[in-house]
Amino acid sequence: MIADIGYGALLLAFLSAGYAALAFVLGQRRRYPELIRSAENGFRMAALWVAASSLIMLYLLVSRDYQVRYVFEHVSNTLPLAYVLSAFWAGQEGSLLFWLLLVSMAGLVVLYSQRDAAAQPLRPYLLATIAIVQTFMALVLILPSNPFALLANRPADGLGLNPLLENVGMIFHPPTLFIGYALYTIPFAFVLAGILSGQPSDAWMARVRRWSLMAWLFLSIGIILGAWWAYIELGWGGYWAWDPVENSSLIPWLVGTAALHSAAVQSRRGIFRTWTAVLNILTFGLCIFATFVTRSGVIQSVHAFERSSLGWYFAAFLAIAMAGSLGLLAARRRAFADNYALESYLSREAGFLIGNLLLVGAAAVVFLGTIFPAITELFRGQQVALDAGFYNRSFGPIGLAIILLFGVCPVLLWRRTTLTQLARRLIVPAAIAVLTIVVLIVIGRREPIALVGFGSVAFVAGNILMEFGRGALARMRSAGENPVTALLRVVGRDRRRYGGLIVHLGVLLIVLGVVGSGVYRQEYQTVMKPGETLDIAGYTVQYVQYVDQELPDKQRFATILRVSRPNGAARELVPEKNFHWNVEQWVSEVAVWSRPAEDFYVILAGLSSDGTATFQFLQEPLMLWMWIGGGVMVLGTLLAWWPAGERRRRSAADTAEG
Amino acid sequence: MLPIIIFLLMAGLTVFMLVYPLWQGSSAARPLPAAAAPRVSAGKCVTCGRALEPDERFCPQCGTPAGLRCPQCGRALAGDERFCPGCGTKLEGSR
Repeated sequence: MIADIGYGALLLAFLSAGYAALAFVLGQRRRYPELIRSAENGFRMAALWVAASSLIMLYLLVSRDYQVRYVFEHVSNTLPLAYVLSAFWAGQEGSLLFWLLLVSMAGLVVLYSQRDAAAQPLRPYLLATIAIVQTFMALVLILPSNPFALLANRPADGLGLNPLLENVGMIFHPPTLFIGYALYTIPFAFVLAGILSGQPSDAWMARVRRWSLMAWLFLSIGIILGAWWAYIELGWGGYWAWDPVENSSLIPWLVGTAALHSAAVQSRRGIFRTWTAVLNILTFGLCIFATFVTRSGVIQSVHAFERSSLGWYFAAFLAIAMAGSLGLLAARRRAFADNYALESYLSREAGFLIGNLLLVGAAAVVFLGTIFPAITELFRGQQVALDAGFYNRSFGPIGLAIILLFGVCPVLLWRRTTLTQLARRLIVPAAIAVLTIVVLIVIGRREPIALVGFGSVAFVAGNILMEFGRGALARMRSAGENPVTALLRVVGRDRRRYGGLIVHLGVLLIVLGVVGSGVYRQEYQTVMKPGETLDIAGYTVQYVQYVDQELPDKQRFATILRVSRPNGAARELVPEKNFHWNVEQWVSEVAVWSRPAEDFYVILAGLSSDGTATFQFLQEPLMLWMWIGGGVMVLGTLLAWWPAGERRRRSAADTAEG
Repeated sequence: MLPIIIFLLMAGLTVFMLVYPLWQGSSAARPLPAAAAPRVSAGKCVTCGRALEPDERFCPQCGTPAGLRCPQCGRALAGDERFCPGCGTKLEGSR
């Protein structure tokens, strides 16, 4: 009964959002303010009914109402409450409802925040675009993907969550990714509103910047958490497998990154307008594409979702949205013309442009690699997937070029830079890079990839830290501040710039982890009996005990290891291999000892009844820095996003002016 | 029966919310407020991006004159525009 009300609420959300979209456009075209106010109410009602159906969904999950198919498929009597709540986005129907909820809430924020006079011409189109996206999502939920569908009778227990998904990373990874996808609706809506209202100016750029940053932030967190989950939970020692579903979240991230940088140039110099608009449109499209890949089953993936007709709804929506918005942009392209041309290829603008092209190129490589199996199926009748080697060979060099550009771009001046200026500012970082490479060669680390990778990181890091130093020094000299105050003030005064540089530092830390674990990863396999001790790669491993335990949801086989280093540091590591009753599957739980220098990663590969176990030991150098780098990226983004600086500056300027 | 009643109530509320603004009629219609925003001086140097103090007339780093900016879109202004060429915002104090 409650489920029926949830479905009814979705139906009303669909009708309200559809009405709002139409009424906004008609009201604006016909200059009919009452109709616009009615549309706003429709928009509010749609959000209300989406929120209501989401609450009903949560209630059904928590009350374990197994007659609802979605609840039956994702919850069981033994599932802990945190996972019961996360079941809201664990499955297809729930995750789409969650997405619709996010779009609706973001839409409400737009409705209430964009009320000033200058936003008036944009506003109806902006809200209409969001309403169209809502209408589509609601349509999908009431037709092919109904989360409130009922079973004929009420089972006593549910199937429960896939045990692989029972991990903290899994509580946060999908929703952060969905928040990213959902928030990218807003920049897209701004672009479309700019085109439709005939105000394709830089006006909306300032408004859209913080939305884009927020969407990008969540997408980044989602991707990093996904990598972390794969590393901790999947038990193969890797963090990224170039799986179609992983790729499909990376593609919008790459294009979204390009869009952020292009928008930065547009807001400062008034160029790259069409390009920024196209990138924003594509980022939204690629978010939809990601859902299409995940949900259609067109491309085989480890993220085994069932092959359903749902994908084709997304494909149709994607085709219409892209053709419509890019077509409109082409028709109005004269209004998007730039005020200036690029003055010199040795300028910061040009640096941003090259970075943009590299990012889009990288996205294109991943995109083609991802759809390659579908293309081969079309022509040869069977799917041929590309291996990681393809991506490493093609993505690697582009990635390296992007990293090097991090180092060059901040020292380029706007408009034009002379070679002498450039050389003067690059000489110290270049020296740091050469020194790093020499030290690496001296200590015997001579692998070409490591030399190039670590050398580039040193070059760029030196450069970025010098940027901070230069700013702080200038303040220390001019204002006589102490170094710490000077540094904080410099960063606080230009959060956009320094926040961006901190994000770059975070990326460098991630590169450390990628290169370190990629080049120096070592793998050992050995069989041990309980009580035995073994020396492996600088670790002493003692197999203390073997545990065989029957739990309500699984049979637990755990091996307790005491791992110690020559310096006396020690850890207890407990790798497990459990048999889960609900899916009748073996699932490994790895154990990891993370240290700044390297991770020691243990997988329980096999086990016999007397406790004799086969262990896989992996040494993964510098892995910890990947997650720290992710954290640094988040901090940098928040710094760039944080509004107080801009507001204070604006009000100070207002006072000075008035 | 109860779900149907609840659904009808929900639908009724929705229709009321949609129709009410139309029924209120043009008496409640207000003209859209006209945009007029003050000029503000630059927060940042247009050339090198350095943050500028409100009283700095030239960038201390690269010497570029600290220009005016549109308060709405942040676009650099020459100083004699009546409307921002970037976003069309009406600028106060224009000659």
